[in-house]
Amino acid sequence: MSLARKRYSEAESLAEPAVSHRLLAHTADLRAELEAADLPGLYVAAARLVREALVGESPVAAREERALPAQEGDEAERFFRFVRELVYLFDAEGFLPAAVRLGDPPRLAGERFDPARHVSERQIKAVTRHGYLFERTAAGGGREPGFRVELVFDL
Amino acid sequence: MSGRIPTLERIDGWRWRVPRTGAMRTEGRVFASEAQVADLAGDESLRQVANVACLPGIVGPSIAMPDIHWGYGFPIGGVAAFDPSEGVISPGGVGYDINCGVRLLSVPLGIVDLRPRLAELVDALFGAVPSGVGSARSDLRLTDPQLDRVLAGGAARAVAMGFGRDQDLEAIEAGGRLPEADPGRVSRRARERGRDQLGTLGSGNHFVEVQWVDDLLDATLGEAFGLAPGQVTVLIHTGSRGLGHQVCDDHLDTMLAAARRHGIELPDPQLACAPLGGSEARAYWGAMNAAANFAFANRQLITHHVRRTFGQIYGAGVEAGIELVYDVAHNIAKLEEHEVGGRLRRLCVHRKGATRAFPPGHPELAPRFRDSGQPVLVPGDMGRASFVLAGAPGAAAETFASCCHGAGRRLSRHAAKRAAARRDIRAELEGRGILVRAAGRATVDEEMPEAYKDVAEVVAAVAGAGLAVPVARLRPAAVVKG
Repeated sequence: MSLARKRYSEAESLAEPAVSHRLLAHTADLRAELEAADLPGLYVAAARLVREALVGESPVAAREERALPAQEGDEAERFFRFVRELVYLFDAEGFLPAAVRLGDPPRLAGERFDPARHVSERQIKAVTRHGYLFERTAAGGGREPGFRVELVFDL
Repeated sequence: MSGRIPTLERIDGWRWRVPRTGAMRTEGRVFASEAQVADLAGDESLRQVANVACLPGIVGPSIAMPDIHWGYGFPIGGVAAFDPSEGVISPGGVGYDINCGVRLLSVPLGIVDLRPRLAELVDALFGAVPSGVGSARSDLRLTDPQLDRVLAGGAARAVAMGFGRDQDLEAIEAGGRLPEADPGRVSRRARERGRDQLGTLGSGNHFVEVQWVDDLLDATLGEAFGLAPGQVTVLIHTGSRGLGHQVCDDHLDTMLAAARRHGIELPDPQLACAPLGGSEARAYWGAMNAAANFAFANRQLITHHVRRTFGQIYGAGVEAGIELVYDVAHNIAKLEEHEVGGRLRRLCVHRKGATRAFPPGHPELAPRFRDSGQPVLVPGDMGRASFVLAGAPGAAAETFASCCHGAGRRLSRHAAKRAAARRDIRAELEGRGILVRAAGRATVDEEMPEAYKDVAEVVAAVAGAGLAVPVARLRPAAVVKG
């Protein structure tokens, strides 16, 4: 039984696209908007975005686990650093996320990039602070309260 | 992203002013044709030119080249110089890919002799130079002491390791080694990212392209650079890989804190910066120079593998005859002397997607380029052309000896991918005689020729403004993409 099935709930898994991201216009880089009803969902959405940018829809299994460094700053800064860590883990170790668990520290389950099984889409150099937006959204217009984030990645 | 997008005022056919408003300490100056300016209408990059003009200690205008497009912090195609005592250094003015740059090789073959075994060549190059997502070398993983020597020694260290020739170093900006590198400033995380990436291409717009000289625009300068009509060339575009990206990330955080402490108001957090004389700037300077040396060494290793690959297919004589024309950085900050208001001043020049373009007679040029001026390498897209230019006096007078660095993107990656969805870009290029090998389809689609401006128009603008002299047009024959 994989790590994800054993220890991570469906909501923590990246397998189901229950949360979404949307690509926004940017001439050179990758700019995206994430929306989620809660923080765990937002973290899962970020992991999905990074994974899709790297390997598209290639299946990723939860074979290994990583504990992320202790989080610092307010919730916007902690989220930014989480995304930055996703980029680092792939570049340094080839680690692709399959599930996310918030906690202190947050944990990731996933596996290493395997060119035989994972499509090569595009490398991410970094998540930038340019245009970074992190906001709690209020209920209204038929929309539940939640979170909205904009990110620009350097490719 | 703050403030309104500025309106440009025309100075002449190639020069436009971004008027000084609000917190701008100086005006902006855009080099572009009227058509190129029309394409910029409403573009965020002009706001970024104005943002850079707000930084403390800026000397002269905030400059943009005709390949300007929306970046993060600085615009891509941006140049800005800062006074060492009153000014700042910003990792956002260098970019994540520290010393991303271009290297041109001349091959002792004509295009007619190349063609019969071109498919074999491009397959072999694709195998010899790891590219794409997660690209790493299985045959070279540097220990810390080895990495320290690369970070300190740059291309010279690579040559000492057997990857090249001593004479290669004369044809690299700064001799391929920036002496103020401080490997001790490069973090553990940066080392982990770069340890097995020396000699790899990466992804995105990086490439190894086999080309030929289809138009020698200046025979005298062409001869000085070792280029002849019909001659095969190889253009390599890559940088400092994950090591450089991490150096930028590490120091952005300390610069954000430094900017707050020094009361520097940032119109964009990616413009985080610190006073040039301070401890944060010294730390970044040592690490940035070390990452730049890693990039010089990276392109040197790729050159070695390109030479060997040509040798395997076309023979040892061809391998021995492959010469380095030039290697130039287009993401860097350097201390240089420039004349400002009739006075020679030492300045910290940031080039973010801009190429150094020293004119003839510049004392920093190797003796072989003193009469010609520095070769300026301007890649286009994989369907049309690239150009070789030579630095001209106009660049020294107006742009802190800087020039354009490429065609500049016209379409976002998302838009390019949408446009390519029902097409086979690789097959289309092959139909035009251009072979493409790539790790995946995404980058080929996102890098489709139509995603870029026409590099010939960009070159016409810098030539029209007197920043550089066109020397040769190069046509692509085969491309290895990440």
